Amino acid sequence: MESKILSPEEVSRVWQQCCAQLKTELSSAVFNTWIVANPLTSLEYIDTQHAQATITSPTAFHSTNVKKNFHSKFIQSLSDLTKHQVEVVYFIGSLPTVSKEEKRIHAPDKNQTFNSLLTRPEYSPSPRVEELFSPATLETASIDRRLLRSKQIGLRPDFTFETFAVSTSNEMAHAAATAVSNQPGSSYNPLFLYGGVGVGKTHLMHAIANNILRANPQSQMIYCTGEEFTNEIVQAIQTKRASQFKDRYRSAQVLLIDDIQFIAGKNAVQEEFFHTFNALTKKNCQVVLTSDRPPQEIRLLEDRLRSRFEAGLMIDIQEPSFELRTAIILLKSQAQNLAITIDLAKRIAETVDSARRIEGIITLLRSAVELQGREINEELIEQLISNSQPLEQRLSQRTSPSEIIKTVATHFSVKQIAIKGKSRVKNLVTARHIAMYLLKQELSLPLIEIGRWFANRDHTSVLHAVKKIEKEVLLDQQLQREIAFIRKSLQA
Amino acid sequence: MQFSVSKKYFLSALQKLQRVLPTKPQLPVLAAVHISVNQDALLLTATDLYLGMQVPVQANIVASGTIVVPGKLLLSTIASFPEGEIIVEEKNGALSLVSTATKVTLQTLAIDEYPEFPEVTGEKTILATSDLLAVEQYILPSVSKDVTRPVLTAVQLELSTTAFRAVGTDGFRLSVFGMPPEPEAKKLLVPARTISEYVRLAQSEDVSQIELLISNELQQILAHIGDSVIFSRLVEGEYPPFEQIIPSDATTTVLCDADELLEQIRRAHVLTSASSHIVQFSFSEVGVEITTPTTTEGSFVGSLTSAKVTGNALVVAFNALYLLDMLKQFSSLEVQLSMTEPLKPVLFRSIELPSFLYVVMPFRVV
Repeated sequence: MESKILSPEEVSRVWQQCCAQLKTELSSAVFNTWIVANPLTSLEYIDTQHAQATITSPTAFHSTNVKKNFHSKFIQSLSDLTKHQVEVVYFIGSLPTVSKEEKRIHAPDKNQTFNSLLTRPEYSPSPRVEELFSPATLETASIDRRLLRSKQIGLRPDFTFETFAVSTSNEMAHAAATAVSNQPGSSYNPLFLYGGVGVGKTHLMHAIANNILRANPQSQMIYCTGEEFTNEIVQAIQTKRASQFKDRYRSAQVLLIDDIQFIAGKNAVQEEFFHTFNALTKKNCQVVLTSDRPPQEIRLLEDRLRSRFEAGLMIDIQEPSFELRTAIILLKSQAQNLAITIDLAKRIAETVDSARRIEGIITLLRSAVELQGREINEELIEQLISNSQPLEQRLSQRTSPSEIIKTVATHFSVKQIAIKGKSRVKNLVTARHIAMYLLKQELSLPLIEIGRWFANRDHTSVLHAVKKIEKEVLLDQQLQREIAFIRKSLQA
Repeated sequence: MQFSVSKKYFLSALQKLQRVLPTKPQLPVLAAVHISVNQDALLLTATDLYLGMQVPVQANIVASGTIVVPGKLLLSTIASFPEGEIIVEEKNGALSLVSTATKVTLQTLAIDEYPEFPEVTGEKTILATSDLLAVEQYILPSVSKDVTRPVLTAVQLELSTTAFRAVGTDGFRLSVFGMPPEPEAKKLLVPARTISEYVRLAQSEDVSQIELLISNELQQILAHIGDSVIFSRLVEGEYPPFEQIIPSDATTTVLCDADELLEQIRRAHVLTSASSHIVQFSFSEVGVEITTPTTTEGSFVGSLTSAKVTGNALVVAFNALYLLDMLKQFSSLEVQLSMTEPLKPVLFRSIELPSFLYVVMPFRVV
């Protein structure tokens, strides 16, 4: 026969019979102190012959004395009742009380019963003071704590997965980010998100961080931009606190660095980042990075870093489509409590192409509603769109040739003088050609004038460069991206 | 059994034991003191099965033996005796106590009914008397007296070699004293009554530290305090997640003189007996106004001259009893209140007393 554990009801029946027997033999004081206070709490039939009984006592005093004085009585009485050879073991612990059983029985409609049990109004000295450890208090406290943590880390609390609109251009990125935030360190490490300005890289990164904090508010997390990372290293070296810096970054459980491309070309920073990265991934700590372009296109990035980034999951976030832009407008306006119809949202999405500008329009819309008390209608929307449009055009008109050359130089991480100079090193030549192309395209400068910017080159050299880029840009996708990126940064 | 003992020592030992003698025990023998004499020592013992105490007494031993006599009776008898030596002798179930021109005979009780003490073995831990005093002062007032929630009638002690922290709560307010120890530190739920007895005995024995022996298996904690020993049960169960409800942020903070606040609450409290001790605070840039609800008895209005309010204006109501208890601990210090919303826990602490914090749940005023 297999062993059988008796149900609590059966145990209590056996115990009552046992008590009835013992009561006749003992004085009531002895019976109440040593028998009633130390009940039988479990009974198990090991086989047809043997059984094991557990007597639970509130304290070691009880247990010691029950064992000393009543051991043989228990064995005899329980063996008679169960028709088994009973072995008695003693246990010290709290007895199952009525309230506990009640709680277990009413487990399904937990909230109500649980609350009333916890607050016990009849016992509290002031019936309307809420319980400090009630589920509601605990929950609001944990939300407060999380918001404070995310504020300390530098996260925007409104950047969550709930406020992120998903469509084909970013669904991969969204899915990967969700997976990472649910199981940091174990699904995709590192996660490398890249894409142009305003496609939602930072939003996704904050959403990952906020979601991890929701599950574990104590999680050690560092969020910074590539530039902040650089500045911190420089400062640490200056103040001779490099080891503190290392300790801080290497003890993180989650490291999120926005715009990692900023560290390219800075040797000491890349070195430090490389070691931090290795230390963290070795411990299975999650690393999330964003960049405006894929690792292989980040110039002057050390090869060992590039290969490490490529070993993780790299996801491209595309420019938002019209539908996605409409969805973003609806989501953002909802968050700002602005009731905007889908038709008006479409109207905005038609003319506004980046998500960041959508945010600007929404802010303008809110100020128009709140400060000027205007109604949201087509007229207002048209006005806002036309107001914001020329602003951007004016900006691009104001762009000077030197600014274009400077931007191109920064993009390729070369000196302006080198671009303007005579050197024919390959990457300088490419940069120079792109600069010439942009001067022609964006500012429509005469070829001779463009030549003057570049060490008085002949106008035919300029023409050659412009033609060359025009031809290549049709075939070379990377070149397309780079030029698009430089244009964006000129607008910014 | 026979020995002679000075009245002074015998009486002081019995007075210590009196603290654990139950007044109306289920088992009559528990109201007794157990006297055991062997070759070189006289040991007095008492217990109510939850708390036990053993106190050795200096004596001249003549013959060894063990007896049990009613505790209160023995105490009153010895207290009434003249100063000097007392000769104690047991013969045929009667205990005779002989002093100058006095002889008292007491009937002894059945020795075999007296409970045996558990054998406690376990890890040794040292606790400083100063820490114990802090627990008594800062933590015990917050500990619950509601026996239906046993966990809250205990003080949670967290002990490690470097840090010490004690926590007490009754579910409506919370006291925390000490620095958070490392996560692997021992956590004990010691009944509030046990802590009181430790403090009392440590003070009367005048020791700077006590030695604790903890047995997880027996759920017992044994304390060596000087020469005496206290046995106590530990409370079983899970302590509420108190760290989670300590407010992390504040949108309104108030700095004020604790004594002034205490005085005003005392005055306000006089008029709150008919209104469940509600005292309402209005915090604003102008200052702090303290009021009580108007009842048939009357009402109170007061303000704080020392208060500095920063942040949002807020109205919060408290149970005056919760504040009276605890503001005494901040006496002559500047106390800081940190709040966010009318119904969220409020944090009280003082920069001058960094190891102590107090959290109170406000009143829901309808």
